[in-house]
Amino acid sequence: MSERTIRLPFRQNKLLVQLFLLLFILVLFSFLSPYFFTVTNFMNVFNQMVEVGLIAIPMTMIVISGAMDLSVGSILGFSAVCMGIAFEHGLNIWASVVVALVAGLLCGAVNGYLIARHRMQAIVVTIGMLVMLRGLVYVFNEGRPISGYPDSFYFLGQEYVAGVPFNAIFLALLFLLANFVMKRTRFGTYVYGIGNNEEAVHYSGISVVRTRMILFLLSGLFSATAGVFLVSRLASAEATSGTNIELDVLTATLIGGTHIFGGRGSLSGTFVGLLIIVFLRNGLNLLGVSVLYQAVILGALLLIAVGNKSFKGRSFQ
Amino acid sequence: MKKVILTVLTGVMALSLAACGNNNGNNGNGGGSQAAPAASGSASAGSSSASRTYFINPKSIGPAYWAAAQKGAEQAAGDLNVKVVYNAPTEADSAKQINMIQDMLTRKVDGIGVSPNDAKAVGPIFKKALGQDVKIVTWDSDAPETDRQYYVAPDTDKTVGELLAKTIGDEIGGKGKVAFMVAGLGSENQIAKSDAAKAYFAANYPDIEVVTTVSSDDDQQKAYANAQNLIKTYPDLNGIIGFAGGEPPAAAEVVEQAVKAGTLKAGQVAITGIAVPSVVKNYIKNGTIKTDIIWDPGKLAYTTVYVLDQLAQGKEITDGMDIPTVGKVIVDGKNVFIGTLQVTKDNVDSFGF
Repeated sequence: MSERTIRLPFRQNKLLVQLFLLLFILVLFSFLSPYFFTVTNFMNVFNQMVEVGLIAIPMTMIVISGAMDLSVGSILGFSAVCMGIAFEHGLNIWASVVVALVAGLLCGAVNGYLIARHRMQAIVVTIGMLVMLRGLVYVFNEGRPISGYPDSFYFLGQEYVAGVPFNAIFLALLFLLANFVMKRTRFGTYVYGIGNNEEAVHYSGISVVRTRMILFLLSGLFSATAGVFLVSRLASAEATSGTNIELDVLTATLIGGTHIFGGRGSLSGTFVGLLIIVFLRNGLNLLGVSVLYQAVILGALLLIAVGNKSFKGRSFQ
Repeated sequence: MKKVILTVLTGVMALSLAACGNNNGNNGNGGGSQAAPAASGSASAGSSSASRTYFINPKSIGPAYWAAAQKGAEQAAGDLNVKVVYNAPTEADSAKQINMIQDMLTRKVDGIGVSPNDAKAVGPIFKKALGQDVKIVTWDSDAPETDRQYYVAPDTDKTVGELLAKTIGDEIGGKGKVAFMVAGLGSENQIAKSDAAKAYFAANYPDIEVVTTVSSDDDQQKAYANAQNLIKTYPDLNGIIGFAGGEPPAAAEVVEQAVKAGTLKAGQVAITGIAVPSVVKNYIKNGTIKTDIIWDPGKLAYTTVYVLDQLAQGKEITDGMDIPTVGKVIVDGKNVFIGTLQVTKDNVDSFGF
């Protein structure tokens, strides 16, 4: 329990630093571009960040538990294409959405089964899934994009409710819910516990296997949801959907202060990390900065986030 | 607390880095337009200065083809005294590309020239652009079922595909096995070209069999690996057509190495395709590639900026229109064609790109 009392103020400190950074980015770009600090632009950014944000929720939990899921982008693409194919074969669009979610859950179940039950390395398993699922996507749809969904479906990714994109509202609600789960429920405590000391959790009579399994199932489900939202936003399910999204997701998670070896981190941190990377990218886009510089800047930020943690960690000891 | 301050300071430094990057980027883009007043200032003193901004969006940033196009776009910016922002994701990714277009609409550019990674996915964003009275022109790859106003291309995909099929058909004597290498299985221009080539074989060279189509996703290493797999999987392969800039050099490199290693007979695999001359120069001189089809990507981008600028000023796009440095273009309906070039041993040194 003393662990916990130390962790809390420390985490809040960290969040403060990230909020400063976010504020700094917002102020800087407001000065540099007249179009940055506008309602339209902010709503655009919120609309664009949903897929990465959705996946960042289970990713944060998984990283806190001391593992990693690199297959999320491929699960996203796989579910999106499954949905497209189901729809093409005459299934109702909402039934197709269910197909996508089930596909995502199945992928998560395979990950979870291998990692939790058979104690295989998470990175190895999920890299395998990353490659295999992406291959399956190409096999299934022969690389051609699937489009032509009914207008009612575009509500998810393109419509605004009271001036705010519907998908952003959905994301915010899920973040609040997940934050509650991680902070206020036993499940959340188990996840932190597994990340800190898996043995201890195991000997306390808590099923590590089940907790890990749930985490990877969640990851599959959220990746599939992100896939559905992506298809709705772009009106097309293509084979490359979600490629490299895991890098964005992990960047948001790590900038958000989650420790790569687990045990520490928070969803609120991830949310701020997410805002930092989307606003940074948006601002640089608005200024017309070449993506090559954008990559350098994002990488530098990540280094700062990690480097910062290493001296934090020393002072912690 | 010291540490918090230290962290904030590091953050500030990172962002000043961002600001530097921004300056550099602007200088890069502005290089052309800064030269503009000197060039056009004397010609028309009263013309409105660089107030019009266009966003030119290739499929990705990195490949030599798109770098050549960037030069053309920047030259056009200088000649027309407008501002051009040339940017795209580092990988040919539709979602990232659309995010970028969305950001540029927020910036209220006057026109956008897009080479879409996914012809269907750009539909909604083009509709939005039209609503904001932003001109939309597709270039290099089309999105025919959208609200785009014009499509700037070297020639119809059908003509180019047929030309490639005819070239390889003649070279291998009208029969044998041919493999297709494309940059993306989902992009419109690649599908249209390879379909046209297939149809041409079926109609004119019934003895030619298309064994497979492999895609590199615009990744040079993947194109190379694809070519290696091709000659291993089909030891009796007669020809390879590369439908995008990175494919023919990858195929040629792999074939040359296999010939050198003795695993492949010299001259067994004929290669043709679309590639920038400077990249395939050595292969053409060695005879690994006999004919290469190309257009000047710089002129393509130049034409795109020119057409956008005409549209933004409310001027008509007419057939036979003479575009400076590009020449006369063919306008067919909503298409603007600048024409293709055939690169052979004899003229390979005459291209400046």
